[in-house]
Amino acid sequence: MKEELISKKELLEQTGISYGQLYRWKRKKLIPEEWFIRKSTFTGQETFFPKEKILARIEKIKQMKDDLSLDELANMFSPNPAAVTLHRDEVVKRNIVSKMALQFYIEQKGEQHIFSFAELLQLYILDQLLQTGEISLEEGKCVFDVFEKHYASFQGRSCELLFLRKMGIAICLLVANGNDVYVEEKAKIIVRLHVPTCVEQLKLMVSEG
Amino acid sequence: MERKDLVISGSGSASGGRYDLIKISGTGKIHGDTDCNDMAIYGIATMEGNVKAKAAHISGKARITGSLKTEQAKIHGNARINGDLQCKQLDCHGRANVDGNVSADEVHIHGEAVIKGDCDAEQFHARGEFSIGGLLNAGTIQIKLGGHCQAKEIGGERIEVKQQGMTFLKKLLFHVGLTAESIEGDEIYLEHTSAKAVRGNRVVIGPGCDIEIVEYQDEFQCDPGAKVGMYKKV
Repeated sequence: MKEELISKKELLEQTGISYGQLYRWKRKKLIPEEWFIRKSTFTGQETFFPKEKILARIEKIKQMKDDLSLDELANMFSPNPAAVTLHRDEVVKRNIVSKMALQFYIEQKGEQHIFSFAELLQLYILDQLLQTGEISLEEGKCVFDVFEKHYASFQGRSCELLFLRKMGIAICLLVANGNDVYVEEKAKIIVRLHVPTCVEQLKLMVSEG
Repeated sequence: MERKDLVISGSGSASGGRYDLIKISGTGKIHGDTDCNDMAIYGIATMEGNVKAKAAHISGKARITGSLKTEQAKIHGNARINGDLQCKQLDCHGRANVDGNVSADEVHIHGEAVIKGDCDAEQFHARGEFSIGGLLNAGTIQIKLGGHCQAKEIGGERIEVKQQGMTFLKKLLFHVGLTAESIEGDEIYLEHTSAKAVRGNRVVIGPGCDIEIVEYQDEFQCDPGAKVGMYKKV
């Protein structure tokens, strides 16, 4: 899948931001380094961005920058977990995850009242997968499992959650972002979930309360 | 854990670890990552590994094979860092060589700095020579030309490049000026700069410049002593 690119000049024109703002946001890490794609054109080297991602991100920054400082925004967009905990009632009340997912989580891991961000993330991702009907509850266990054991080793680098199925047997993987994955013919990639996007969405939900 | 001092005067080597003060006056070598409060190097030091210090003062000659992370970096001698340099304030009065990226709040270059990667800062002030292999990105960039300055790309909010007074002989013998592929910012004032492209809201091209293309939004001024290939309002 080829991403559509947008040049820096077009981006500034479309969004109405200035060079100074763009560079400031880059410095504050509101725009990830890997989105700056250098390409040579006939006028020399130019910078391009993945169009959909950057436009969405700039829109979001523009919306939120009145309420939050740039550093707070940077925290929001970084793939690192937020330092928040939420009470179970809050999670239900604010509709962050469905009751069913929460119930399942408690069944698996025992009763608990306070959720850390890492735990919420697992829950949120499971909920996303369940909502779309792509995986069954039973398969949800392996999502927990892979997150529990391996998510920490990414240390804030972005990664993707892959869910494969071959002849009814499901496998769950975490893959460092940007790597290509090819599978044999009989196996099928059911889900490919970009974890930092989930982190971002979850941070937004948690902070909005 | 209690932190102890490590003082080498004469010649010696030590292993890395946690220290309060590291002071090297002779020739010293430290093996492994170090973490200290104060680092003062007056002699010749080789540090194999990453260095973390509250304040780092290099008056002699130091080589760090890893990265240096500190709040205050003062380089009066000669420092070579193979990794990244991360600090709040960087004062370079001597010579600094950084193979990785530099990120700081404030950068002051009075001597010479060679950075192979990018340089990120809120404030960037230079009155010596520098060469940046990647992007120089800072809120305010103020360059007083005193020698040959170079960066691949420059981007920021306010960019000002001025020539400071110098002797006729120096002008004759050395190249004094800034070269960059592209310079982009909100407010730009340039003297003695050669670049392929300059883009900004308000652009003033001063004497001695050689610019292939200028793109501006609000305002454009050009000194009669400057060479501008093409300019257009976007």
